[in-house]
Formats: sequence, C-alpha cells, structure tokens
Amino acid sequence: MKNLFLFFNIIKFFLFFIVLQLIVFNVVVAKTDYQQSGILNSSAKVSGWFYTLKNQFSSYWNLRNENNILATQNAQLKQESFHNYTIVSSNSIKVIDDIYKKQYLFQPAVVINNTTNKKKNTITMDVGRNKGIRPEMGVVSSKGIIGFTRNVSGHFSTAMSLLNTELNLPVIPKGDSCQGTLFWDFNDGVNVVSVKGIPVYYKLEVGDTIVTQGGAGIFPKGETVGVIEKKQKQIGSNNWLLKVKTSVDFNVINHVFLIENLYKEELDSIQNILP
Amino acid sequence: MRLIIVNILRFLILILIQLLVVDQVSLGFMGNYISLVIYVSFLLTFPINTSNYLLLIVALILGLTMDMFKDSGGIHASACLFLAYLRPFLLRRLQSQNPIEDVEELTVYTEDLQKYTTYTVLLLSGFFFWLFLLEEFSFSRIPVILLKTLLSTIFSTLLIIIGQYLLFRKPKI
Repeated sequence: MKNLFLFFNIIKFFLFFIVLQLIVFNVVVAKTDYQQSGILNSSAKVSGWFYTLKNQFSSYWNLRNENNILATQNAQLKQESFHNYTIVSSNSIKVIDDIYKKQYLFQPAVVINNTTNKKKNTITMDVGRNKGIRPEMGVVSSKGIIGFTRNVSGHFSTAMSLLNTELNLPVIPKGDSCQGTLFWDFNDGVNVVSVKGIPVYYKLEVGDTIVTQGGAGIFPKGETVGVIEKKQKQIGSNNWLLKVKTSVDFNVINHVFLIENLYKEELDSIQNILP
Repeated sequence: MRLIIVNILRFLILILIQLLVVDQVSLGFMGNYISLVIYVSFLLTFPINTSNYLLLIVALILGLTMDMFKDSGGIHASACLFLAYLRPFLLRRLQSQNPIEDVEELTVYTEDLQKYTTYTVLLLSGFFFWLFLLEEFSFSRIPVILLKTLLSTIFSTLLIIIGQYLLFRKPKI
C-alpha cells in the first residue's frame, strides 16, 4: 500500500497532465459532434464581440472595392427592372401573377472573421438567431457561393466555407444535368475546389461554368460556383476529376447574403422518406 | 505582486498581438505549411519558481482562450498543455548543465541568446508536433507533419525572440 502511494507520488505530475488533456479532448470530440460546439466557437459572445470590433476597423481597407462590387450589382438589378422594357405588341399583356411563389429569401450580412489557411475553414457573420438565421442556410456573395451556416448563436453565426475538407455539395455544369460532387482538396490551396463523379462521356471544356444543383435545398438552382480550370480523368474510375477556380476570392469576403429556403422542411421530409 | 500584474498584462497583450497582428499576416501558399505563433512566449517566460501544476492550469486557460478565438476546437489547448508538461524537464536538464542564476523568469535578457534559442526551439518543436498531429489526426501523414513542424518552429522562434526584444523590458540590475 505504501509503495502504491509512493508510486502515485512519483507520477502525480504526469497524471495531472493526463487529466487536463482528457478534459481538452472532451472538447475536441464535442466539436466533431456537429451542433454541440457551443462553448468553443467564435459565434460565442466574447469572441463575436471582439471580431465585430476588429472588423469595424479593418473593413475600411476594402471600402473602395466593395463600392465597386455594389455599384455593378446595382446596375445589373436596374437593367432587369420593368421600366427598361418597351411594349412591342399592341395587345394587352397578361401577367399571371400567382404562378410564381417565392421560395428563397435573401438577407444581407457582414463577414467579421474569415480563415483560409486551415483544413476546416469557417466564416463568422454578424447575424444570428435574432435575424432568423438557422443552421444549413446558404451563404453567397454577389459573385458566387461561399458556404453554408453550421452554428448559430444569439447574435452571430458561423458558416462552413467551400474551403473545408468536410464539404460535399451536389453541383452541375451550367446548362447540363449531370450531377457531380463538390469537395475541397487541402493541397490545392485557396480558391481551387474539385468536382468528382461526372462520367467522362459528358463533354466538358476548360472554362465551363459550374453551378449549384439545388437538390440539397440549401442553394437555389444555378448559383455560380466557378469555372473549370483543369480537367483530368480520376484514377481508377470512369469519371472526370475537375479542378474548379472559384469565382469568389476567399481571401477577401466582406458583404454576403444568406439564403433561406422557405420549403426546406418540406423538401427534407419528402427526401427522407425511404422508397 | 509585481510579477502577477506583469504576467496578467503579458497574457492579454500577447493574445491581442497574436489575433490582431500575427494572424492577419498572409503568407500566401506557404500559409499551408507555416503557422506563426507568438502567444506561446507567455509560457516560455512564465516565472520559474512557481508550481508546475499552476503552469499546467495557466497553459490550459491560455490554450482554451486561443481556441475560442481561432475556432480550432481544443488543439491549441492540448498543445499548450504538452509544452507546459515538457518545460519542467527541460529546465531541470538545462540547470544540471550550467545552473541558471538567480532570476525570476527566463527571457532573452536574462539568458544568453544561444541558450535561449535552444530552449525555445526544443519547446516549440514539441508544441507544433503535437498541434499538427492533432490537426491532421493521422499517422500516415507524418512526413507532412514533420515538415510543417520544422518550418513553423524556425519562423515562430524568430518571431518570438524578436518579439521579446521589442515587447519586454530589460530588467534593471
């Protein structure tokens, strides 16, 4: 018995170290369990506040660029407005108003923190449950898609960016319907994502645009992802492995839109029914 | 008392510098292989006469704070703990070779540069190896982990030593 106590006395520093490590590992494991990472997340109150403060200063550096982007977008929207169309036929125009119903709502948000050099990159935004944000809402900028929300707190939310090794998203080439899966290879670096699963008998060219398929209900159909930069045959299969240059520059993200799908629950419930 | 206040201030300032200056440095492509760290400087210069258990607890708090801001889910805390666990053994080893004079903390001013660099490199390589091992979470990528450890250790050691010359005051003797 005495020897046992002596033994514990010798290794007590080591034991203390192990106990603390176990506490930390519990946190790491809790992180992989999707929704439960409440404590150690930058959507937590303190760090959210801190990053908002930081962003208030650092956002000045990008103002000129952001203004250009917003001006371009304004011009585009103006062009689509009703007043730009002249009536060419003398017949009265019949507008069937109730065949369209809104499915996606867009709402603006500001990115307050953004990483690009990790394996699992995330984006923190200044909107949270107070603005009706929920997990699994799409994040896009005016140029293309960025990611989707994962964790939401009272006033902040974090999104998984496309530069995340856990990402899996159905995509299609623009104007076609062959579905592929979007993923990110860490070794490709920032702003390059990969698409696998499109059979080689589909003719694809370098420079083709890749857009979202819309099947997951996170993004509308046809949101831009990027253009094909390189195509090669995937080793050991009959599919393409496409390297896609994202249309968004992930180093500079400031103003984004969050997409709410009004029929998401309905879509999920019907897709979950087994045939 | 003076030491406690100095260390609390150091804790806050090092975290601010890490988040607002060092983390904002864009290394481009090399950013995948080099991670710059300066906040560990706090653990390196923690007073040597305090209990080792206190060092472990402080390391845990420091690491968890970093994890909270960097969204890294506990890997920094774990690596900080590993560093804090290694430090007493290293100190004992260094002391047996040539005893450390009567100083409260180890900075670039109290030790000669060569000795201090060795101390920093040894602790940091342990820190980064543990950090990247947890980040990759696979033994099959050991070569990449070792490369990242090597590069990060070199650059972070430079950063920490230069940082100490800039930030820390020379003790009056």
